[in-house]
Amino acid sequence: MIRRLAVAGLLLAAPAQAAIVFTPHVSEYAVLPRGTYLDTTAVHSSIDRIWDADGHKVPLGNTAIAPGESISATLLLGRYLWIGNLFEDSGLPFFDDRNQVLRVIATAGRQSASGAINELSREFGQTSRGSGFGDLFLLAGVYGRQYHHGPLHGNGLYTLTVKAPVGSFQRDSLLNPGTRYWSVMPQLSHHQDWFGRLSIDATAALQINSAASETAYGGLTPSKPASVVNLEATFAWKFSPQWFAEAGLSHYRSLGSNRYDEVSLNIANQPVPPSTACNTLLVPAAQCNLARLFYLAPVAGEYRDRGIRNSIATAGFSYVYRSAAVASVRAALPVAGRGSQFTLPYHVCLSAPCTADNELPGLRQTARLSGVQEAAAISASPYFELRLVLLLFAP
Amino acid sequence: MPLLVLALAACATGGEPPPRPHERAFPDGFRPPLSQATGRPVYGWGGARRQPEAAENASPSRTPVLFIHGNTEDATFWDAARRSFREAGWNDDELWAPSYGWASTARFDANDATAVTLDAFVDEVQRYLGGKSGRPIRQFDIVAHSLGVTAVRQWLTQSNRWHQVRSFVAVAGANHGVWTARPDARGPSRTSSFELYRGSPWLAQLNAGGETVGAMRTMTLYDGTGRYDTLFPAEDADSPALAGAVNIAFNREARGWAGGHDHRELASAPATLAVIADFLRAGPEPLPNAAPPTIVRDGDQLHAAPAEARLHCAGDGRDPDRQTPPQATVTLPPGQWLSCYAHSPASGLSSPLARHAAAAGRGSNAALQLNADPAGGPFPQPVTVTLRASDPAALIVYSITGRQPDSGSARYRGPLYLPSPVALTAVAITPDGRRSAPLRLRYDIGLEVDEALHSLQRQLDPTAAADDRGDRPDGD
Repeated sequence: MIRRLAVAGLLLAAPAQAAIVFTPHVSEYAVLPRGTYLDTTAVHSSIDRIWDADGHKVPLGNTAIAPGESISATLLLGRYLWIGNLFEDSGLPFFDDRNQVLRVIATAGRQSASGAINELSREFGQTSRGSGFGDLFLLAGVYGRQYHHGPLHGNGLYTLTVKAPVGSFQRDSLLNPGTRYWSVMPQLSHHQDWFGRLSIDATAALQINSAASETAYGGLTPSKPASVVNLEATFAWKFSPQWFAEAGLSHYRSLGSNRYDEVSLNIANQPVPPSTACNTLLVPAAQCNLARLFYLAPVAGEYRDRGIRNSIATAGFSYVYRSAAVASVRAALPVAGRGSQFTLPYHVCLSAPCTADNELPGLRQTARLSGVQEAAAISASPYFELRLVLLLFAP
Repeated sequence: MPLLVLALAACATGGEPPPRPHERAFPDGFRPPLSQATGRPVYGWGGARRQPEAAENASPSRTPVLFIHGNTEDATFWDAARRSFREAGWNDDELWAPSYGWASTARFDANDATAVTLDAFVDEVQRYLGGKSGRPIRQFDIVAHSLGVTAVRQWLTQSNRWHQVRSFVAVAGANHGVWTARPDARGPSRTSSFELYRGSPWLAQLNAGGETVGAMRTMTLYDGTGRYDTLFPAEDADSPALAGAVNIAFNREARGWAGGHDHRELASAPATLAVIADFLRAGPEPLPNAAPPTIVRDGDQLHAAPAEARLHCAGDGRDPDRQTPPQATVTLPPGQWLSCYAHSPASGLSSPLARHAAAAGRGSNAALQLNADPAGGPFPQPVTVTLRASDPAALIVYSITGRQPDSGSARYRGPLYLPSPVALTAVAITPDGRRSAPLRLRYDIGLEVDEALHSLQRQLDPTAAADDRGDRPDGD
């Protein structure tokens, strides 16, 4: 059963939302005309593999559930963008002669797990429901000065994003669209255009996370998510005014460890029969025969992983329709990663409540658990993205 | 403490009002007209805001420059140009830039509405500078960018003020269409799309008489490579060029790393601004107190006054440009309207454009009638208007600026394509000089009109008024 506890953590929530928010598209950071824009992005992934803490791709559930089980995650981002100059007549240096951007990003997710994963969650008294509105991202920034040297044009964009944890969140859910921690994300971005054909959009963002006010899925979401650095670059080639092809690289990694100090994941139906205990806990036969039933309980404490990281290659194309809309299709393939895992000891007892006071001496067992949801779990499965940008009110 | 700071600031300036924020305002005494698009006063910059400290800053000592921005921009687009021109010797009274529209992609600007605003703005700059300098301001130089180019050309066509523009620099204008505009546009900002799509009737009307008219010096400046200015890809690379102008495909002609300017940089980069300033500087400065020449008709003959002035005339529906050969006298051919202007090399000034036809054998006391079909009204989509004069030989001219058309105003050459709300004034003029009563019609064109006509209220009560005022962009 400990093995089943261990593999429970090898499940996942939605693709990491914040990382997707930062993944640039063609000319994402270029200076755009003043006005308002609406941008919607749908991301879909069928996740059947994740990265473990050693950087290996492992199937969901490992051997505890049959191969072929997966989590279907669809994330919808709606982005409203305003570009203008609030300080045009203020005389305020730096701001008065360059446009500012304000962006609101609302998210929604629909996530579902296949049968065996649901069964597994039920064994721990947890659920695999996970649909609803996600967190809200609010971004403000200012363009850097534009420069131009022959065929090279460029500009910077300096922004600060705040993520408000207002999304749907259930404490017993494996798949939550929202989180329960705030994030502040300073971001330096840059756009370059070469020869009117090649555009490069790159960004570096630091996501500073607060402590989580709540954790989910038996405490397998970090109670103190580590801060994360995002590095992304997209290269796009313009074939015509309508058609663009793009390829990009994205890398994000935590700075330090995620901390887990509310872990309570446990088997729901206790006591555990000895046959199960002996087989799955690898309890020695002599001890196994001591009793007919066993109780398990996680040892309270503070646990840390070795951090997370993910590297993704992206490729896609964009089509500009009637100058008022852009449709983009993009595939993202994780190429390297590391998920959040930590080792958790369990008390083994003959009676409930199972605590250090009544545990069987020498029988304390450990399980290697994986963190879940966006701050901890790293998908190793590709995802697909459909993006539509609308220039509101345009012809 | 803030009050103390303000008080100290007032002392520091000797009691003069402090400069307005970032020098983005018109001077006291300048009365900005209302924008036809927004319904609000035009803002922007121009003029010396404080009393001049140096004599050379007292008033315009050379032809003032008007900078006309493009769509989604405002006067701040020209901040770099303003700095560049100041450094090159222009003073504040010689540099003006109106913000005529919405400055946002939320509401695109359109040429017809902009032309009306420009007409009023130029009037006000003339009034203000004339009053300040004590002499009439006869001419301007104009530097326009993108939509500003076609808007200026439409203003000149509709107002017959070609003679008031000494030099015109047209940067990256969609003179022959732009790929982003479409004839089937449906969005709220569709008007400029109707105007500027490739092969649009609006552009055909704009270019029909000639792409450069009058003695005005014209230079176009554009990408030419099809790459750097995204609005003009390879197939439209020369759309901004104008026949009869000095056409500079800047990026195409640039060597080494001198090119590569995008749509906005073509009007704001130091290299292109230097070319623009050189072109303006090369224009002969008109004599300060000279009067423009006039066209004198004597029977079926025309000549210019004063005697040293010359006529430049074109027939076959064309309007003369600066390449049109000068003539001392012109005999009007029968059955054809000649379009002429007089130009005085001595003063550097020109007359307004005027059209004349031989009146021999004609003469009638019958009242000249002019009719339109449709005769104004609300329309959900662009409308084609047919004008008919009771005398088939009559010239029909029109204007959307609110001005009374004269014989040099926009010429009716065939059914008139109106893509946006306009107040049309048209007159018919016979070869012997008889004029019809002005025909003033309002064409209220917009999808909102159609929506109002088919509102739920009107379906329940067809007699209810179709009120679209709340749905229309201001000024439409």
